[in-house]
Amino acid sequence: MLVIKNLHVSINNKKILKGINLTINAGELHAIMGRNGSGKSTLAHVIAGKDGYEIEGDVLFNGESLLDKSPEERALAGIFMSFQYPVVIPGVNNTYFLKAALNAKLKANGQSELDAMDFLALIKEKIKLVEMDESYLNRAVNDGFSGGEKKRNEILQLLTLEPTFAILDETDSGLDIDALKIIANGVNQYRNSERGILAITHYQRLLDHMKPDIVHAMIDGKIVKTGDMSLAKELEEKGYSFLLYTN
Amino acid sequence: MNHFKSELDSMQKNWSEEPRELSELRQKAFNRFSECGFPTKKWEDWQFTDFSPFDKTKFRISSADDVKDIDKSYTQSFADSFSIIILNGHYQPQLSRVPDGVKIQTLLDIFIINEKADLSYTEENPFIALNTSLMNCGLVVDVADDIQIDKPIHYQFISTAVEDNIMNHPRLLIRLGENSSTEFIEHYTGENTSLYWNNCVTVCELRKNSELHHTRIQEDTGYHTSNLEYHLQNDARLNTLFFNSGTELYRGDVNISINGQNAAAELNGLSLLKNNQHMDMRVIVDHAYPHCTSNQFFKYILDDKSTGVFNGRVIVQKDSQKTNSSQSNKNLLMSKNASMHSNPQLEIYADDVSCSHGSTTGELNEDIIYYLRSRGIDNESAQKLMVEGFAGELLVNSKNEKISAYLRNKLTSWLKSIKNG
Ligand SMILES: Nc1ncnc2c1ncn2[C@@H]1O[C@H](COP(=O)(O)OP(=O)(O)OP(=O)(O)O)[C@@H](O)[C@H]1O
Ligand SMILES: [Mg+2]
Repeated sequence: MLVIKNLHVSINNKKILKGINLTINAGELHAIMGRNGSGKSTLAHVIAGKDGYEIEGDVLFNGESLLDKSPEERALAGIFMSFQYPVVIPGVNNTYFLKAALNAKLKANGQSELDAMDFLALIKEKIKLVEMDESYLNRAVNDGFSGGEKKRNEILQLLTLEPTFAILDETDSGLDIDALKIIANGVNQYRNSERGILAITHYQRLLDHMKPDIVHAMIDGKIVKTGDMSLAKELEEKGYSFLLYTN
Repeated sequence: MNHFKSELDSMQKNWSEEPRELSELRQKAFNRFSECGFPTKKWEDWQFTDFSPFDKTKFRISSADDVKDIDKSYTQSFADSFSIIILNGHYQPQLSRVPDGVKIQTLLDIFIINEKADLSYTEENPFIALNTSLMNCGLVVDVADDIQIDKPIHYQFISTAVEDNIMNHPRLLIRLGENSSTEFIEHYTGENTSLYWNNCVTVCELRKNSELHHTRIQEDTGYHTSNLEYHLQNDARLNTLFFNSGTELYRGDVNISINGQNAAAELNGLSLLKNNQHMDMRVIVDHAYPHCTSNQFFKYILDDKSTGVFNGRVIVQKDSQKTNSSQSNKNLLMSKNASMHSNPQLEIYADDVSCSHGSTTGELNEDIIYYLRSRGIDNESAQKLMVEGFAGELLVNSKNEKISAYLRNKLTSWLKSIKNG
């Protein structure tokens, strides 16, 4: 579903990603763990279409290269990214925003758009899944939301937009224990045999809830080791430096 | 200057039946105007605007001949409001309707000039002096004590196509009785044909425990100068929304005098500028009594080569303890060529107060645009959403749903107009 081929990425001539190869098939959940600054978010943004990068290599989604596509084209093709730092959008109502996003997708798929009433009915169902109060729907997007609330709002978007491929960039960071379960449950609801997930995390805790198929360890812009859940356990126990020896 | 003198002379000739006090007042105000002249670059708080076009264009006072048959389509009432209609500076009582408890008189009719309304206004403001000297459309709106008006009063000042360049100097005096409440919409519209100039002075007096919701919508297309004065007595509550849809030359002054305890003023302003438009606004809030609140929230959205100026000053006098005041000016530049001068100031002479002020000017935030696009919303819609959000923060402060819907529509068509341009 998602194939990354020998991806090199620099920002202002500074090399960040140094030859990433990664294939994620439908139905799979891959986790990436890695030190701060190793390039995990950069990888996520390159897939989602942020500009400002010098890119070599390729990112294919269902056989087509994503690199020439705008962020919205990628989103409409089925890519979604839960941001490590979701942005605040002053004055833009959360429901209005979610409706605009969903309707953009429906329109692109040739389906009829939802009116305000139907959308409200839908979003009220979805918000229950992330156990958020309905009052968050009437607030400006992420405006005054706590760190954890922002992350829930990202998962609410995931569940509403139902993309085919989701990147979760540290969606577990800053969550309390209950919220972590809620987020994991949300992701598990989303997960099915037709969808792929790339979860970036620092903690094994989330992975305990989500049971990744494959775990990658990233250091300094490279994937240095790939394994299963046991790699996540090992990383958590020993830290990243052990990889430097084994490599 | 001579030109204005001859306008005054012919006006006084035509209106020779005017009471002597009035013509003396005109003369006195004109003398003051001639003494100070139009502002120059050397005047503090005025230096960002070129006022010479007022003198260069030979505007004449609009006359009765300028009122043609009234086309109903000019009047666009907000459903379910009372209305006061002014056509090219001429009050149209036959088209106007006000609620019980509200009295409308022309200044000429009553010629009871309130000390403050006139004129003995201390500041040397040439536009007020000129308005007093040439005022051709004076209305006094009195709201009786203890009256709560449930529907808005919609004052429409309509400028229609005239062949040459006309000017109007409307004077509006709104006096709210004790414990009364009113919603007043002061609305300037106009056809985009020959150049005209509206030099407006509006004075609002809020007596004890009265409440005024004042929406001022500027959609006329000529030069526009406005002086808004508010006097608040004990427990008075003022809430304003100034919506300016931009003209080539606009100077607006707002003066709030808080003259009693526990009074509160909420000021909101949104200005949309494009092309070569220019908007220069100065807001002065003078806290002379303790336990009062004032909050200012002004935003500008600037496209093309437009320029904006915001001068805000909050003065907290020595005995005005427990004053609570905030002042915020946020501006959005939609183009690299647009520019904004913002200068919010605080002058505090009391020690137990809570005051804040701030100003930001920036372009559309790229990170937000990217976030929206990553959700499948295209670039143009993302920008629109953001600008609507930026402006929407202000428009929600309107008490009246119909007005905020009307203004939201105006904003949407403005956004369309700049995208096509
Ligand atoms: N715009 C930029 N200009 C310069 N350097 C950048 C820029 N964006 C990212 N970097 C650098 O690229 C490196 C990788 O950053 P990235 O955000 O991808 O790390 P990360 O693995 O997600 O880290 P974390 O675990 O802290 O989230 C960092 O050293 C960062 O400082
Ligand atoms: Mg990161």
